[in-house]
Amino acid sequence: MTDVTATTNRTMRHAMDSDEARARVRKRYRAEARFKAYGIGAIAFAAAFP
Amino acid sequence: MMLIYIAAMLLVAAGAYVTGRQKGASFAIAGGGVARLHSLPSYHGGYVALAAVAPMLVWLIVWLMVAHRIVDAQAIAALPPGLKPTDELTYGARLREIYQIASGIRMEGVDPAISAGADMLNFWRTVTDWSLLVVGLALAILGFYWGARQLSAEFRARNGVERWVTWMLVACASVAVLTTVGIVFSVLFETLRFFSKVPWYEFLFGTQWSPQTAIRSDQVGSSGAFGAVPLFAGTTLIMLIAMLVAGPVGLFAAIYMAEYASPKVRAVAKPILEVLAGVPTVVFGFFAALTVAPFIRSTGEYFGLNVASESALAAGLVMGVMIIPFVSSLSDDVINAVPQSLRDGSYGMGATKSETIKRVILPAALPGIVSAFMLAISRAVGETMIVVMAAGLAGNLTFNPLEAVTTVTVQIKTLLVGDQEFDSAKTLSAFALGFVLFFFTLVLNFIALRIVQKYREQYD
Repeated sequence: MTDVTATTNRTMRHAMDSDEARARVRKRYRAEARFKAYGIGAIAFAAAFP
Repeated sequence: MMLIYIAAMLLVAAGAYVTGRQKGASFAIAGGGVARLHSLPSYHGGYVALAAVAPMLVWLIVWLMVAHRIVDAQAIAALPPGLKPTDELTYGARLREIYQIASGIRMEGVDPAISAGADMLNFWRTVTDWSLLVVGLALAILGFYWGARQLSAEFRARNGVERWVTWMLVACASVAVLTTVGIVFSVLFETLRFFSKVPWYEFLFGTQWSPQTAIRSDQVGSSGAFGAVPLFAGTTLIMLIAMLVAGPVGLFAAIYMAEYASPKVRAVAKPILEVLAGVPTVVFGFFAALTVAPFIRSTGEYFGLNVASESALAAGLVMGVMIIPFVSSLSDDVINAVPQSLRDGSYGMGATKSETIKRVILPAALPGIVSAFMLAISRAVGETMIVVMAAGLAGNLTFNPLEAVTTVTVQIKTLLVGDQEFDSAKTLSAFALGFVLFFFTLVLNFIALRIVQKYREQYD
């Protein structure tokens, strides 16, 4: 039982440390920043008019 | 006399209130304490006051509708047969003459026969004025006794007063509804008159718009063309451009302010967006005509494009900016109304903020966002001043945003500005256009309401 849990943990950590995983997270964080920038851009556009 | 009557109404109300209150208080003293009464003494007073004043008010309304007709009819009846008016026009003219003599504006050169009519006018005025006061006070006394007789310790005066107040509230609410109904019908009848001159299929499906009516029947171009499709196309085009601007900008601004912005940023940004809603549309109009349109024109020329100086793009862009606050503030409210537990659940699953917004918050807030868009669209369709100044005047069936198009509202304004005869097809077509516009926005609002009802999710 304990052995099984240990193995899963090790594979999990391995999965989260892999290059693909890092790339995925980077991509998601970039999307996050882009989304936030859209919002700032929208407010700036609206504020620039009056 | 009106002032005296209103003062009398106030006096009657005050007197009836005080009497009713005293009577209610006397029940309390006789029965051993206020607790023995069904209603407080002040409600007894209110009930009697209402019973006395309501008939006076009804009588005043009836009198206002009827009295001046009686006076006018009697004054005209006093004229000798030779001077009696034959049609509506001379009736009004003769009546004005009599009014002038009666009020003493005209002194010399007065026909004695007309001056007899003026005497009659003054006499009947006095009669109706006194009848207002006498009948009103009689009704007040009747109402007062009717109300006062009912009072007793067990009398449900409070319920009575509250029933009166309910009816008053219903009356106030129905004013708004009846006004809308009145507007619909007035536009509807003029529209039907227009369709008796121009067939409806020609109006709704014709592609030529040049509303003209000749002064002489043999004039060149004496028959106008009333095909409204170019106007509908122009309206749709400008509305689409406006929504392309206002939709994304408004929605993203709302998302940023609701989800990302710190309270400090929000306190600055929200008023700035609301300033946009406060700018008069005329100001937007000349901004579009003097700044945006030439800018688009010169930009287009730089790329070798032929841009009309009153392009649909300029009007649509500025209109889009105008309706940004509608989209953003309404969407902001809906997004804020999404319960925090949904966000927490999404974050707990490891989603980033933008993923939460896209996958959880926007679906949950969708009905509200859709209705915000619908309201913005009906606003854009009905907007007049910007398109009057920045869009063209000639009906032009095209979907090219760089060309000049015209909209329904612009044409209504063009048709009704200045002196108009209200029985030509040209003028009446404005009402038909208005009716189509009204119908369109009504349908949009209806759809928006239905969407909100159907998809509303009730959390918590």
